[in-house]
Amino acid sequence: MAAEFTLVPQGDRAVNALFPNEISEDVNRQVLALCAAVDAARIPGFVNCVPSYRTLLVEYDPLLLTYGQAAGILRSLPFSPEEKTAGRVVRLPVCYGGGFGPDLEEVAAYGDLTPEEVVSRHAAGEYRVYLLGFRPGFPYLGGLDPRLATPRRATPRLRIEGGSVGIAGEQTGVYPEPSPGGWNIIGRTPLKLYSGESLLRPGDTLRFVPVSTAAYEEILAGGEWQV
Amino acid sequence: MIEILDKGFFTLAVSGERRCLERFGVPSAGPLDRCRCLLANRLVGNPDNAGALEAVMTVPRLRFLDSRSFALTGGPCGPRLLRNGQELPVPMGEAVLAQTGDELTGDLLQAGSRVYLAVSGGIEDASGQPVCPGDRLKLGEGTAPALRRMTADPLALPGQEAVLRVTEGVHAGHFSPEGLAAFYQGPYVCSPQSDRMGIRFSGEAAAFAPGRDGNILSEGMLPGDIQVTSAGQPILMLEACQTVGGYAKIAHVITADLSAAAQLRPGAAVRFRLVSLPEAQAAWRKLWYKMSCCIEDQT
Repeated sequence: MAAEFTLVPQGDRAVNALFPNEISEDVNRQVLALCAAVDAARIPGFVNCVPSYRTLLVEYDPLLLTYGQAAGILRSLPFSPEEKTAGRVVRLPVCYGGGFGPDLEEVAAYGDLTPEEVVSRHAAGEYRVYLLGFRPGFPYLGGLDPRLATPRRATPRLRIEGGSVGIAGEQTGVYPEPSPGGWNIIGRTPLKLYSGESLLRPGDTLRFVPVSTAAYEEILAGGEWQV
Repeated sequence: MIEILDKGFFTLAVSGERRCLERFGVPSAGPLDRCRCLLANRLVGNPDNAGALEAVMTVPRLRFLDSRSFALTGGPCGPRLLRNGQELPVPMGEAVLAQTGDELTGDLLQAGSRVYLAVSGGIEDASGQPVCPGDRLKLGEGTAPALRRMTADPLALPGQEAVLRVTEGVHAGHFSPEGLAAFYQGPYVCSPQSDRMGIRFSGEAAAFAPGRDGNILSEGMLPGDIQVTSAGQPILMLEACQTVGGYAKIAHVITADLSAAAQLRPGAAVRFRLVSLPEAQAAWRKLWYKMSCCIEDQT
């Protein structure tokens, strides 16, 4: 499928490349391909770019380029959206249930499943990292088993520990750092999503790997884990 | 080094250097008022993006442990140096040579909401972290003290009624004609629930077009973008804003007016005035030119 995007000015120092308005791996791959092309071209006057589900926001220096020039450069960039870039696969250890996953039972009850089934279904998924945002290292993931979809908690918790793995509606995610939140928490990872650099990158595939409490503590204390 | 004696209300060590980690969800940690931070650095002969202090509503009390030149820009705060029991007034927008042991102090800002302190050599490891009493901040190699001053201030501080120029929003089509008219009519009042991430405004709700609710697929955003929440109230993104947002963007404050936005106080009434993209970029070129020729060596 040919890549099609339209360009719009986002303020006076950015151009936003808009791809079809949907959450799909195909569209997101095109966005990341254009992002890679911009990175590789090292265009003088281009400052930064931020990929998302279906847009690539390109910031330029308006002292060096007009909007027309920036847009023209973007349109003429050679890029290959067809190319299936080999995204990395990242394995994230998760200790499910118990004190680390206080809402596991509720998610199970909502989906008419046993807690064990919730864990095996959640850990069986392959989750695409569509984008990172909201907090440093926070992944917007696709690919949650629809049977696990559970509405947000009616009353958000005041504090959710960093590393908590949760479900909200049709989304699953990981809290990079402690914060208030309304997600249903089903487990916790000992790995840090962000510590000076991001564990995940847009386009990665994330897998959750169930581990015991003992293994959790070991990894937390600096034990080996092959992501 | 400089030693923080009293942090005032809230003081951060900031640098204008772009890290470009937004794609990993990491917001910029630069100065909220980039222009005034840059001018303070230029006054003491630093690179534009050297580390400096950004303080809210008052200047922090601090002691110079080395002899360095320093300069203050932003809200006027009656700054003075305490030296051997004497108070020496410090002009805003002018580099002054501090001697070892001098203490800097000041009052509440008379206008604006932020003041910038640059020290020759720059503050090292300034990554947006708050400073606390007792902190000793390392300075870079001091060059021969540059003592410069501003001949004219290229930036005006906003008062309790302000106008911010904007360009048309990427999602202007998500709003009804009446909603857009309400937005441009204003005014919108800066809420006290504003911070370095953004200014929350309250005013007439900017109504959405039929079938729209202000939600979009989360996408990249920049300081200056104005999102409108589902309740119709605008939020102006500032330097520490989240890197992606899921609300429709009704307009974008032009780069030349971001310094004014950074200096707004809670309670200020703001109107948004639409300008074209070429006008916006011309305004920034003009401001950049003025900033380039407003500083001269003191004779």
